[in-house]
Amino acid sequence: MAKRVELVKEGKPEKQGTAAFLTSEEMHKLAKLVLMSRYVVEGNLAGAHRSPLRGASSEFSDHKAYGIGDDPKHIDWRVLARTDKYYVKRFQDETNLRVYLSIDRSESMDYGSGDITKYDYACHLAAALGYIVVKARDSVGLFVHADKIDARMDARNSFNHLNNMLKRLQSFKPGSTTEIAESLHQIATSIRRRGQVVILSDLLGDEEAIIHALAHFRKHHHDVIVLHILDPMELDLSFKKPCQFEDLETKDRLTADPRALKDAYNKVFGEFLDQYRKACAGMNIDYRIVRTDQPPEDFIRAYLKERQRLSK
Amino acid sequence: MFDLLNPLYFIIAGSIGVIVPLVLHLIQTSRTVKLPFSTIRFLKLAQKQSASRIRMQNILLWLLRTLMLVMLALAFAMPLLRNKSLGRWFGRSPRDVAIVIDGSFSMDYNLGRSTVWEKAVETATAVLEGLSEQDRVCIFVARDHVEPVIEQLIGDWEEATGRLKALEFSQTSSELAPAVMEANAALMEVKERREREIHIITDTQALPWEGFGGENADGPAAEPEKEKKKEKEEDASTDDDEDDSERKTVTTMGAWDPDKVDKRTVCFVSMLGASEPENMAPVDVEIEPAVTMALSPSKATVRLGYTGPPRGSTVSLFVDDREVSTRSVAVGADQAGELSFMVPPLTAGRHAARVQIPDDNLQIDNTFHFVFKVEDRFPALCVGTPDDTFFLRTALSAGIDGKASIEMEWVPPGNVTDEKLQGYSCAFLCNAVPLSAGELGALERFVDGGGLMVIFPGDRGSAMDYQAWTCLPVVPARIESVSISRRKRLLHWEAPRHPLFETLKSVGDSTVMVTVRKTLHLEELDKRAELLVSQGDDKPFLVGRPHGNGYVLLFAVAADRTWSDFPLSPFFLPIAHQVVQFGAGVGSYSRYVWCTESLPLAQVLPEATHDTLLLGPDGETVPIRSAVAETRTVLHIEDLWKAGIYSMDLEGDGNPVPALAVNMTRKESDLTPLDPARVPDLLQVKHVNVALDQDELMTQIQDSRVGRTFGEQLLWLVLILAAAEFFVANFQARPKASLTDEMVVDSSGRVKGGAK
Repeated sequence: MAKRVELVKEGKPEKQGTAAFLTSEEMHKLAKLVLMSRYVVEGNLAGAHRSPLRGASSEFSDHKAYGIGDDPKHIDWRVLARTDKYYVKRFQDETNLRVYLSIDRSESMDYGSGDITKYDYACHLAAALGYIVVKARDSVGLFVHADKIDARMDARNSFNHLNNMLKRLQSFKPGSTTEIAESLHQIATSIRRRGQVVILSDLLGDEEAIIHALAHFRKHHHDVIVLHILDPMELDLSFKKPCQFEDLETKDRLTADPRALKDAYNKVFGEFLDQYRKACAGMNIDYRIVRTDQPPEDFIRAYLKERQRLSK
Repeated sequence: MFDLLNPLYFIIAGSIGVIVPLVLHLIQTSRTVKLPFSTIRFLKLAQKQSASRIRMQNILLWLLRTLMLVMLALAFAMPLLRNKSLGRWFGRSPRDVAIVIDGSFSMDYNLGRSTVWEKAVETATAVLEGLSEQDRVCIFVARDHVEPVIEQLIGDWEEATGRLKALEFSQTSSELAPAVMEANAALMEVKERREREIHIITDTQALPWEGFGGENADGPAAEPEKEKKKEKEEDASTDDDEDDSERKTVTTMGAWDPDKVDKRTVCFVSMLGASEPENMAPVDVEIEPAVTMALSPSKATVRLGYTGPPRGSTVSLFVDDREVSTRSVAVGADQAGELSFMVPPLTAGRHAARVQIPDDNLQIDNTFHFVFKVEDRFPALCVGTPDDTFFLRTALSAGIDGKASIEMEWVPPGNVTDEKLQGYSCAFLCNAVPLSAGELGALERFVDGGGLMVIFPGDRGSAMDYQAWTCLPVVPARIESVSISRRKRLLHWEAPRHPLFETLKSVGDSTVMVTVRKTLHLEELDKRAELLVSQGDDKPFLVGRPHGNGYVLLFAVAADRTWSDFPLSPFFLPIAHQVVQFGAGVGSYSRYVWCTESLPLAQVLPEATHDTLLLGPDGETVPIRSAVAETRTVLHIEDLWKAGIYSMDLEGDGNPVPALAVNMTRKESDLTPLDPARVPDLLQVKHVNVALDQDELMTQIQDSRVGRTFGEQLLWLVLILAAAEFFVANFQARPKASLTDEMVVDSSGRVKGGAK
């Protein structure tokens, strides 16, 4: 991955599309993973995910009094024998999953204390998730935003689409002020059917507004996953010497000794993270903190396995 | 209380020490690197929350670092705390002690059980006993000169104690200032950083402190006297430049200069004498007439010096060890008194005499010795023609008090030789000028040897003939004739107390009118000349001048009637007789001299030679030493330190006659005490302790002893401060738990805990 990161940082990726982010070996490993939705979703194809509609799956849903037009083959004979009344069995419909990846490309996402910026990391995560989704014959869509939605790609379930999506993603560079909340509201409004929304952002904005935007997704019954991407330095502030910090977005400057500020910073930043964590927990949003010093594939694997375990 | 042995370190290093942390802080601030960061919102919030804590920590660090550097500078500056309790805690540094003891005879004052001298030695011994192994000592005795007992600092203070106990006071006065300066010089010779102490052990007498400057040390009343003294000194200086330069050198060497005393030197002054001393002493004797005639009575006037409250006493006069008279006297507080004794007629020759008072607390100055010299004839020589000397010879032929006569001889001009002048005490020149060079030389040598030369002008010589003289009180400008209208002139006694007039009872009361037709015009008197009698409108009539051991008198008119009717005036005869008597006393003998180291023999005993046997008061032989000065051999009597009558055997018949009376200097008898509170003002040094007895001195030494320099303790303190600084600085930069650890984020990004 290090080699790829260097190439990405230089702005000259050796390869385009999926190949730029995933090796065949990684693809092989990721192919075994599945991203399941925790809620019913509305797909356009039959699939492995529950649909709010009654359908022809083998999953029993409930009984319904027989009416004209109902298929007699669904009459539950046992109930008829016991009650002498006609009831028909209804079954859960199963559909495919539409996963929308929302990637923040604000200026703050360009920060990286190590080899990789947060934006690059988000792109890698998006590539891995997209591959898993397409591999499971589900659809994947894309939103790239900063102060507004910069790119939108509808959900489709082809590798070709994934490849195009990642190429599109590669074409963007972080570099704008943050209006995450507004952008998220726009995204929430634009997705009509219930699906899964994966938000990849550092969430450095107005917390209340962002939480409100997340609630907007939930209002539309989307299954929301928030991957809060943070650099290790942002989390731990482990600078060794006093320095003059320059805000990447506002260009404001501040001279401080990080060692002296660490306690207070931990407290302030911890409260900031807690706000999201608690708000997401309250809205049944899957909230994860992702450190950029952790390989994306490792995180994906650990995350999906845990998600799979919890869904059983 | 607080001193720095090396203040330069503190001034320089301390200043740098205060600035360094600030400079380092500024350098550190200017070198801050710029670092892009995703957002500084949380940093601002964190800084806002911890600003006061950070500021406090920074101030604490700055204080610690500054304090550390200042303490380091202070440690190198070697601070000293003059404090008893601290000295007890830290111990004391080695010390160099200089002891100066007043060795004047006033130290023999009896305090009851012991004398001041004994107490002084006892106190000095106690100081020595208080020394420790590393301490060193030197000892000086202040007499009229400085006597170094132990000139350089030695560590063997047992030897010092031995030498101290062997000391004795001298029969002289003392000056403390030169001795203290030498003591200080001995201390300053050693460059090591040690405690320095000067112990001055004296009585309460103010006299030895005169050498110390101080502001108005002698009080405002002493100023005019000082000025007069200074003027006199200036006058005298022109006569003998060599003597003057010598005197100045001595004064400069012994002068008190507080700037030369190390500021850290502590002076302990022990004033062990009586707080209100009482002492009477005969300080001077005057005999009238100056030259006593055989078988004629004389008068001895004794001056008494007294210190103490008013009281009565008795004074006795002894001549040839026989009590002549005893008189009672009442003296006021701290006043001098005078007492006269009638001395019965004595035979011709020298007589030992003494004035004695009863025993008091200071017995050593109770006796005052002097020598009576009784003459049986007054030889006088008249030089001039018979006409010129007629009136004078007639006047001198008359008897003096009817009991003694003047042996007068006459020689014409041109016959004056050294041989001719030998045996005369007085020579009159009546119209004898001009003189040959040989005669002039003989006469000048005569005056130089103690004779009296009286010059009456005349028509033989002109004013120019006086130009070659070197001993005249004034060189006449011209001989002027007086107009008829101004011839009547009244004589005024310009110096009625001059010895020349001492037996003339009518001087000052009577008026003498003379008719002057011709006179010497006398202008611009020599600086040493004295105007004795003036005529008319303040023109000199009789002027005199000491020259060598003798004296020269110059009249403005002739000795006959050609110039004036002065020989016919009632003043002529007594003044002629008085001149002869005065001549017999001029340069003839000293009634007494003060104790001294060396005295020219010719000055006090002109008749003595190198072979003369001179015996001291106890019969011991007094050495007479010869020294060559300017091609002449000068005889000196040495070591005249013992008061009493010295006798000599001129005839070699084994019957010595009284020759010289030696007395100890009487200014030392003035025991006027000095207020101890004035001592610091006189010394003008930083640390002065005045004790009135030994116990107080010991307490002061204990209190004033300097504690060991606590530079070492300060270095330990610096070490502690450095450790504190290290702790505080690292406390700020200590590794702190990261937020990831606090929140417990697992690999799947799940947050298991919360922020603390």
